[in-house]
Amino acid sequence: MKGYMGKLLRVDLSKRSVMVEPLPEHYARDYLGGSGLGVRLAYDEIPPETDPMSPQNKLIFMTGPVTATSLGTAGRYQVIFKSPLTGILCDSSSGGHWGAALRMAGYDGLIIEGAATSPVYLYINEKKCEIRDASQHWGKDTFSVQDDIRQEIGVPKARLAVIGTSGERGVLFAAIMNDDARAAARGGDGTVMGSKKLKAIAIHGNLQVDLADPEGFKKVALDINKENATSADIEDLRMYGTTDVLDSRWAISDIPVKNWAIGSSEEICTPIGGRKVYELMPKKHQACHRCTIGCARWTKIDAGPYMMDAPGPEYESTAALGSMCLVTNLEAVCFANHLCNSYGLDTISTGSTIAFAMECYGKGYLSAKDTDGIALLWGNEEAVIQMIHKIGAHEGVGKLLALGTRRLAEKLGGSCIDFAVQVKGLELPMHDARAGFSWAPNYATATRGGCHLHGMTDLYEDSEDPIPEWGFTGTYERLSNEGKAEMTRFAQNWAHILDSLVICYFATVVLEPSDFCNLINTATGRDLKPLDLLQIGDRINALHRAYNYRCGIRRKDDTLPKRAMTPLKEGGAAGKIPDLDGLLEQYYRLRSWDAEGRPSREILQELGLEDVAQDLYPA
Amino acid sequence: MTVRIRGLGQFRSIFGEQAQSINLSYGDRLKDLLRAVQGKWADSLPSHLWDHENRTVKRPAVLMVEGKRVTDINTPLKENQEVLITKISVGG
Repeated sequence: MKGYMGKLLRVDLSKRSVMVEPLPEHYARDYLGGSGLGVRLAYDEIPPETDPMSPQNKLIFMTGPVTATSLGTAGRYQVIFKSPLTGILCDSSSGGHWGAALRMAGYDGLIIEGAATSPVYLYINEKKCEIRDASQHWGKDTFSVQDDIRQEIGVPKARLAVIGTSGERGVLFAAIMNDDARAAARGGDGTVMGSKKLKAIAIHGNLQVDLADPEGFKKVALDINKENATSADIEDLRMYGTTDVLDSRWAISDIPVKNWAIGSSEEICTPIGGRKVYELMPKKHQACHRCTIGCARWTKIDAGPYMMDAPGPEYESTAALGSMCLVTNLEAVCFANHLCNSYGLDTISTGSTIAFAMECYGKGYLSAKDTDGIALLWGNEEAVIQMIHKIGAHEGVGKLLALGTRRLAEKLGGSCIDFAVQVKGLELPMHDARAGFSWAPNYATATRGGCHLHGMTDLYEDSEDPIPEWGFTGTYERLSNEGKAEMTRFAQNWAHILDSLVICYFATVVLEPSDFCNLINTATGRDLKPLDLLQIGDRINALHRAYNYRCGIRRKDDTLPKRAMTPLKEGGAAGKIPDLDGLLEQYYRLRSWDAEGRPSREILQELGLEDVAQDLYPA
Repeated sequence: MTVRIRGLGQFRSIFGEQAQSINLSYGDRLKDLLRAVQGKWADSLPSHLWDHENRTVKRPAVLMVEGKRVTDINTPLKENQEVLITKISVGG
């Protein structure tokens, strides 16, 4: 099948076996690749009752039909697994070049199963896949292990995906890091990798994917790359990176501050915003595979306690480790971000959990005795740094915070769960549903828990005719409930398509579904139309939901915590909250879910998921 | 009367770091301020964020008065009020 390498690599670490399997073509047609195809494989191979930390859990690394082509950002990969943090199916995504390397080694995907008895790493190239001893690398930080394994295998251009000590030691929100500091961060994929005693996956290859219409594809890709290099719509992103969000969105109260307790302000946000990053540390931009946006930063601090020379920070990390904890010293935030990268930690969950612990400390749920003597006070940047060390090393109070906000709140009791800002155990990203009402139904229903990347509804707030090719027209005010259930469905489906292709959100701000069709059709020789993509999105969403339903997810879980639904007293969104119940009722209807959030038999059959219908509606 | 105008994001580089004072007549409305803004910065206002024909912002740029989002350009303005123009940046 054109547009695919046609092969999956399966590694069983328990048996120390390696197998090459054909890519199921009917799955490639139905799910495109990436996240969609990975969720399908997970549905087939990971029973919903699987303990996420057991050898029965799997890590399914997937690329898509445009990976490793001339299209900018097409170096990404998705990893699908049952999450130890949430207990449901999670798909996590990362940029950089590692995904392209996997394809150039000859594979559309890599399935890791079982567990090794001692630390190992994989070395994969066009001719072989070796399981190698990693005892000497266990305990290393994510940066040095990449350098050391690259040197050990003697391939300077090898790309590595690795875990740090947090993944080795069971921190529930450990990330998989690749290409220095790109992260498949959410949901604890690094934790699962650690439970399998797999320290790293090194890949190198030079193969090229066989496209159906190479010249046609090249033209489409070059047009998109050019648009991303010049479009005024993303000028700020190119110039200032994602931290530019802090410079503008504080005015509408989109930035969470002090564990979501107060509305965002200029005083808190702009000292750690993109312009400060740009002014103070303009060393160089970084770009993922052939990307013409280059939104990633590199920061260099020459002296003082936060001396560093490393990638980052991104917006989500800056808000989670900065405004959430009331830390406004940019150098401290950059250093905290760098530490998270070194330990291999999800910065959103790390910052959110520290901010939550600060509030617990202030309210007496935690004392200095519990925190190893660290004064967890708002704005105490040194406490944030110390906490990251504790979490990353999984020692002392770090063991407690390594549980994430939901489990920590359950452990501490009282009213803690009200201000543990998570959905289904996944800490919410750094955008406030009180400032953009569409976030609320999206966070409540996103397939992996509280997540903005599984439906960036915010792109469509206040936008005229958001996706006309899918019939999504009109203009919807940010602080209104009108149209937000539909917006959620469309945005989630859009995300499923992106994550299945697999390309970056930012590269698609300027695109329409027909642009995706042009890419897919010239890559694979298919003749997909925009509405076909909408249906594929519906299918992926229904399948993922069905898996989660079988894990026990019900209507009661599709909600936001009390803190995130309490009106702010100040700022651009003061006094307003979305009508979550009403929006969910509409959303359930749009998705054809019953009152408990189970996809209807009819919709499953309509989407070609007959086997799933039988699982959800046993005779 | 004097009204202050501030820009965030891309508008900051047009209006400068500090709020700019604009002289209006008592009873003037937001649309009068926007007309004055276009008169002063016409060449700098980017066409993807500014509707030169109708003298107002284009989405995703927004207007805020005293910290509140305003969509009605007939909104009356008061002495010393601050009007904010910002583009809602993409990112996350």
